[in-house]
Amino acid sequence: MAQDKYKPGWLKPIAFGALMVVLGHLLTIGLIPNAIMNIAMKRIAEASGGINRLAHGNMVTPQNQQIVRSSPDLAYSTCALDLSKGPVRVFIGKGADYTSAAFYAGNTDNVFTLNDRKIGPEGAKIMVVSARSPIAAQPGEVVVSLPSDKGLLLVRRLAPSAEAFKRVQAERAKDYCRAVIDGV
Amino acid sequence: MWRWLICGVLGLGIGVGSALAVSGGLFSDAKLVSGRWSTDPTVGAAAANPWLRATIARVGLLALTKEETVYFNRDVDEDGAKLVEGCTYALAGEAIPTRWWSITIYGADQMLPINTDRASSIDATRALIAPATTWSGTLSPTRPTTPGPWLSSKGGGTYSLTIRLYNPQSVEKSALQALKLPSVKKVSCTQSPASGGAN
Repeated sequence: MAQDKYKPGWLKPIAFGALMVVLGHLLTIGLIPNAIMNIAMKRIAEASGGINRLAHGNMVTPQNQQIVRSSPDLAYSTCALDLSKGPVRVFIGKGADYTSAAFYAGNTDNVFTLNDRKIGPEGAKIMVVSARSPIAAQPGEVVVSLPSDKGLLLVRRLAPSAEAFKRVQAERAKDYCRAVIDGV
Repeated sequence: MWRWLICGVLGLGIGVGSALAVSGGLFSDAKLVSGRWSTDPTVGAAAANPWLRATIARVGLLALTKEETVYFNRDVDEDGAKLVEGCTYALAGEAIPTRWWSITIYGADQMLPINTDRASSIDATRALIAPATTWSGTLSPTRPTTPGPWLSSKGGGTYSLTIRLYNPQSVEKSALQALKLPSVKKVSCTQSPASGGAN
């Protein structure tokens, strides 16, 4: 009489497959924001000539759009932030119309936004620090603390026409984003 | 051994694929609806769950929090049919209790449709010229002969609209739901429009 032999079934491999579904899903969901943010930061740093440098974008058109869902009615300025070597100083001049400076952490969270209603006639001085960097803000500076060393600054200024864009170009001429070690 | 390999690879593929589908907005579950417009008020907030955060990273990177800007989206007309390049729509709106607003058209790739019409958006400063309190415009692939602001859908294929409300007077759920956002009514089509369900 033939002896019954152990035959491997499908139950355990299917359970393993189900586990891989969950792991693959959660890992991908968790990695997407940082991966996309890293790509965006790399592009912005290249456009700005390096990290901790402010770049002023042109009027957004279908031909020059850089990022998903840009608004053609806004003039954008961007700065890829790297706080690993210390804080970064930012200056945003007062605009005649809507202006905001939004700071994003490496996982895309919008951690802080300052708009023109809170920017005085002298403009806004902002010191950006990471959670582990020392705070050495000067009097009158707004301190923004990012939970990560890497992040992004996106400045929006309302410019729905060529005339408004021309005005905005003058308004933002003195804006900057610089590492403190650059000697601001 | 091959059973484990098949199930493992298949499982990983399904897991990654489902994450990409969900984050691409395929199973969008906006929490707040105003007419045919919908939004998720947790957009941009640190409290956004990982799935919403991944979705925003892919389809709306660098969004602002609702206190600064509320983003309402729609991809259907007033009858629930998908917005398509081959159709002409009548836009109508009124003053919205927000500091400034703009409507922008985006293709399926979330980018502005490629054309040279210089009509990818309509904003409050151009649509509502004082003392007017209402406005009407056109959403079409060719420049209309009727007066009023124009939103060009040329090159848009099957597209969506986003209205940005900057510094809204209130971000309470009831206030956002009660907003009278612009209507989008189909006027005519030069091709058979895709059928669409409720958004």
